[in-house]
Amino acid sequence: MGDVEQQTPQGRLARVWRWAIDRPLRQVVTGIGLFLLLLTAPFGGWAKAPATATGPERFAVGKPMTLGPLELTVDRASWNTDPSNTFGPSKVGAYLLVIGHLRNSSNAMVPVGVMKDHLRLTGLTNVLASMDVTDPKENPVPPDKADYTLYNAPDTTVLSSVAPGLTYEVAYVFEVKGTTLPDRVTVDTFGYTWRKSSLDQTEMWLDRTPVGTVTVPLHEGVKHSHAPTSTP
Amino acid sequence: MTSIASRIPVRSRVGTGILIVAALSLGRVVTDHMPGQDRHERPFTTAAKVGQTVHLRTGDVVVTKVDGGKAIATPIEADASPGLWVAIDFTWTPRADTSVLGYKVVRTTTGDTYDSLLGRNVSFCGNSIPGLPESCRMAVEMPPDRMPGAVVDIAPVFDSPGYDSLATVDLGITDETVKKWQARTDVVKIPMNTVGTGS
Repeated sequence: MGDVEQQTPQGRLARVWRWAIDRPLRQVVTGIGLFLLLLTAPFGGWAKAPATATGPERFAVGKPMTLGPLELTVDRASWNTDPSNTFGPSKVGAYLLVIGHLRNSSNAMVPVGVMKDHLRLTGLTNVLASMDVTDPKENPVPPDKADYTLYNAPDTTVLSSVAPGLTYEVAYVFEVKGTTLPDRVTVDTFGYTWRKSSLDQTEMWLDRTPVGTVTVPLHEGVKHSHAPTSTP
Repeated sequence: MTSIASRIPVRSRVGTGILIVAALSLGRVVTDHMPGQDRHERPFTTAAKVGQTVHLRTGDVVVTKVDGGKAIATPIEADASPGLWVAIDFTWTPRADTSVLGYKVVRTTTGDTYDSLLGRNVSFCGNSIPGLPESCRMAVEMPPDRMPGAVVDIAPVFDSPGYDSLATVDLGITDETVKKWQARTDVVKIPMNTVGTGS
């Protein structure tokens, strides 16, 4: 009778189960671990995930990009050794200005972290770390490491945050060594996702992710002493 | 070597499983009936209008004046807004040592918030002496169409006013007020805060 039971599928399964739970604890734990590892095989196991086939989207000049709480439209770019009376002439070269419109489409003030890190230059080799860091020992830096100072263009006041529902005419100001600059400049933009932080369960803008790339013609701007207003 | 099966009787294992499932179910039921974060962290709110004194945990606050315009000038800088500025004067009289009014946020009828400590917004209000009134100023820039019906939330904390006392003061802004501010050509002057009877 027992032999007959063991020939059926149910009987064989019961026999395997009894064998498994009769193993020592260490073997049972190891077995469960190996079983879970096998379960990952259909999804690629421990193989390196393939890179995303499509990179950041290419945006045309003048086309708005959604960067989490912000909507940015890059309009033009210029450079000059002395573009504004707000920050004085450059001592090492020139200022590079990426000019556009920035709108806060969220319902609260935009955090400083997002304001400081949603746009980066690419391709330049003579960019300084920031307008405040001009020490030759620390400069130039790779373009994606260069920080900008964000100005409200009409009155050249610094924007450390922007108010919900308002659109500002802005200038992202970088400082560069020398005055040899290309005739066009490319910027990468980054977006954020509103979600709960896994650390303290507080909702905030997280997961900085590449969104787009814009290439904009770069021309020499007007010196502030010759400009009709202080607008960069 | 001892196996799992021989160490724990079948009835005991089943009983333990049932108890675990029952405990998890009970936990879920209790969790579902607990008040949410919005409710148990909500502040103790007192609604008021301009000119009415609100007694907060560490002192008394009264909004004394509401003004607005396209541009402001502080002793530090002058800022023109792509929207409109709303400037709020208020008096703060602390009762205790912990007397800073850190939370000063304008809130619209649709829930948008404008924190006076962020961006180009202005917040002149210090750590005053208990019993001595301080004339404070704040200003925030916002879209004109979101101004009517806006209130200012004031609390003696810096981050969220949860658990604490909160004054919610109706700024009394109407469509007519906004039109008047949009037509202004002069700059709204925002002086520094003063302590004592001066203003």
